[in-house]
Amino acid sequence: MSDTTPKSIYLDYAATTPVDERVVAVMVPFMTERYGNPNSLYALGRDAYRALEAARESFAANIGAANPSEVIFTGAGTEGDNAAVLGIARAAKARGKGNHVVISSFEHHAILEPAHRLAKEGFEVTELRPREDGIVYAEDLRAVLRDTTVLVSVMHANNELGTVQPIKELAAATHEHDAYFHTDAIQALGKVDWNAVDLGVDAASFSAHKIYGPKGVGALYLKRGTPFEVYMIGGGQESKKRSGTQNIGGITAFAKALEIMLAERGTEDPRLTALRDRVIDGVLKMPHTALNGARDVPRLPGTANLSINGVEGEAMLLKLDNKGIAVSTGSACSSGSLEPSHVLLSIGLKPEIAHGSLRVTVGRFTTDADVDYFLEVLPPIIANLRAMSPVYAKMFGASV
Amino acid sequence: MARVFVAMSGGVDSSVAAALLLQQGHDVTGVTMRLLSTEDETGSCCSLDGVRAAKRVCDALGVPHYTLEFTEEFEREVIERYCDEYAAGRTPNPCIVCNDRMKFSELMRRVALQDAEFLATGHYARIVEGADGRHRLARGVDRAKDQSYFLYRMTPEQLDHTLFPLGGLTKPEVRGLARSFALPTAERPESQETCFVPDDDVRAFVRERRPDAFVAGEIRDAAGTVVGSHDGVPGFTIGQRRGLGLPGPDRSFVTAVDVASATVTVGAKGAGSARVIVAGDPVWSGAAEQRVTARARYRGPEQLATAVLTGDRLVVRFDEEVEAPAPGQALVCWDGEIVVGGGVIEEAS
Repeated sequence: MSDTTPKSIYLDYAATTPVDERVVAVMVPFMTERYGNPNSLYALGRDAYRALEAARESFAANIGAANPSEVIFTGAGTEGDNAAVLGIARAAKARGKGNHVVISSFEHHAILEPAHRLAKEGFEVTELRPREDGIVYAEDLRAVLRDTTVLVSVMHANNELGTVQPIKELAAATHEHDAYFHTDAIQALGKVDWNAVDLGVDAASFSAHKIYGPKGVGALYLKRGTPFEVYMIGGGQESKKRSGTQNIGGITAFAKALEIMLAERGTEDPRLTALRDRVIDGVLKMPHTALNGARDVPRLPGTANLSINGVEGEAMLLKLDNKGIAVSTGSACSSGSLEPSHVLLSIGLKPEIAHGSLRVTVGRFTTDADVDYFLEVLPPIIANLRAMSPVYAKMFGASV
Repeated sequence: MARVFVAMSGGVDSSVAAALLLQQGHDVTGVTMRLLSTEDETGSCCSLDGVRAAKRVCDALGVPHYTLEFTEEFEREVIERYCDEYAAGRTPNPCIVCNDRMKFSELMRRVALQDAEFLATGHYARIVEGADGRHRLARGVDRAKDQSYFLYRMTPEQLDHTLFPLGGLTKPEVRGLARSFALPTAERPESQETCFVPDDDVRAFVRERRPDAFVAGEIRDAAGTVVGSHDGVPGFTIGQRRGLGLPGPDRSFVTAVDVASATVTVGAKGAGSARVIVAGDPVWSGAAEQRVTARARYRGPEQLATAVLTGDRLVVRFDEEVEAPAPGQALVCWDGEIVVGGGVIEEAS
C-alpha cells in the first residue's frame, strides 16, 4: 500500500521541479567515477576542480556576471538569501554608512526572517509594500530610501503571484543612495532575461531545483567589491566566502539545468504562457473568481494565482489532492499546514479572500491534457464547496 | 465502507484507531490539528513531534495524512478561555473545551468538506443507540481509561458522524494491537498534562498572559486567621493541598478562592465538601429530574445523585458529600452506561 492516487497531475512547478534527465546524466558521474574533492592536489581532485570551474564559468556567463569569481555556490536558495541579507547588511554597517535596510513585504521567508533578525540586532528595517498589481515601484522605493540605507532586497519574480519586478529601476534607485541592491531571483532565473551587469544588481540568489536541477544546490552572485560578512567559515572554499566541500554533482547539474532553460526559452516561454492563460481563463469562467496581481504587468510564463471566493484554500487543496492534482495555496511550510499568505495580504487582499487562493504553476512536463483535466475537475469541486460554505452564502447568496 | 478521517495526535491510541478502521475496510485519511504556533519539540500531542509520529503511522498504513491549521481558533477558543477562567479564580478543563469547540466542531466541519462521513478519534468512549433511536455517548469498556467525561458535551448530531474505534477495547488490548500492527508509535509515552502549558507550570503560563490577575493576597483559615500569603489566586484549586507554602505539617486544603479580596481560604480535609452542585452552560438529554451517577472531576469518585434541570442551570443533589468540587470543572452525569449530560460547576454548597 502506498499513499498515491492513480492519476498524478503536477501543477506546482514553483514549489519544485523534477530533475530533467539530461541534468541527471550530467551529475551522476560525480557520485560514481569522478568523486574527487576539487580541493585535492592529485589527478582525481584536479578533475573535480576543472568540472567545478567549468560549471562556474558557464553559470557566470549565463547570468551575465562580469567575472566567474562573482559566483558562489551554496547549499540552497535560502542560504543565498540569508547570506546576502545578513552578510551585506552587517558588513556595510561595519563600514559606518548606516543601519537601514529595505525589503519588500512580499519577500519569501528566506528574506523576511533574516531581515527580522537584523531588526533584533538594531537595524532599522522598512518593509515596502507592493501595489495591488503585484509590483514594487521604483518611485515607492525612492520614498523610503535614506542616506543611512545600506541594503535593499526585492525579489525578481514573486513566488506566489509570478509578477516580475522592475529590478533594473529598483537597483538604480538604490544606487542613488549609495546602498547595495540584492534580488532573490530564485523564481525568475531561466524564465526572464537575466544579466547581472545589465540589471545593475550587487547581489542575487538562485536555486537549482526550480529549474529542473537537483534540490540542495544554490548560487549567490556577489558583485566584486560588495561588502560581505562571511557566514560559513572553515576550509575557505568558494574564495573563502563559503566554506564546505563543493557539491560538484549538484553544481554541474545546476549549470547544465540553466543552459537547457536558456536554450529552450524561445519555445518554452510561449508554450507555458499559453498553458498558464488557459488555466487563468478557465478559472475566471467561474463566478466570483479573480486573478491576483494585475494581468497586464510583466509575469512569469508559468505562474497563475487565483482567488476563488467563498472557498477555503485548504478544502480545495485536499479535494484536488484526492483527484491526483498537486497545486498550492501559498508557500509550503515545514509542518505542511496552511496559513493565510502574507504575499496576498501584502497586495491588499482581505484575509478571507486570501484563504481562498490557488496557485497553479505549469512547467516543462505539463501538457494540454493536464490542464484539461484540471479544468474539468476544479469546477465541480468549487461548486460543491460553495454549496457547503456559509462564507459564500453570506457573500453572494445561495447561487453557486 | 465509509470515508473516515481520523484525528491523529501521533500517540498510540489514535494510531490504533486508524489501523483498526483500515482493517475494517474503511477509506481512511489521517489528520493532525496544528494547535500551537510555537512549533516546539516537547512531544506534547500538538507539537511537530506529534505531527511527525502521525505521518509515520499513516505512511506505514499507506493512507494519506494532512496537517490542518487551527492555531488561531485554538488560541481564541481554548487558551484565552483557559486564562480567563484561571484569572477568575476557577479551574478550567481545556480538554473538554478543545473536544467541544475544536475537534467536534471546526475539525468536523473541515472534514465534512472533504466528503468524509465520519470523524474518528482514539477516545475511550462508545456511541450507542438511545431509547429514542438517537445516538448517545456511553462509557468506554475500559473503566480505568473511560474518557466519556471529556466528551459529555457531544450532541446526537455530532455522534451521528463520529467513530470511537477504541470504545470496546482496554488499554492493554490497544497496546497489544499497536504491536501486532507493528505501528511505529506502539511504545510512545502517553501525553498527560495540558498540551499547551510548558512544564505543567500553570501559574507561570497564566501569569505571562494575565499579569493583572496576579494580585498578592492572604491565605486564611476557616476562622479568618491569616496563615500565609500568595502572589495571586490564579492556579489555586479547591481541594489542592500541595504548594500552599504554609508552615507546619501539610494538612491544609484549599476550600475557597475569592478573586475580589484575593483571598485563599484553607481548612481541614472535608471542609470544602458539598452536597449540592450547581452547573452552568448545561447539556442534557435526560428527564427534567433524574436519578444519576455523577462526577465533579475526571478522577473523582462517581456518586449517586438526583439531577434537576432548571432553565440554564443543572442542579445536582448528591446522596453523600462530594469532596472539594471546584468551580470551572465539569460536572458529568451518567444513567448507567450512558452520559445524560453535564455542565460547568458554578457553585457548590
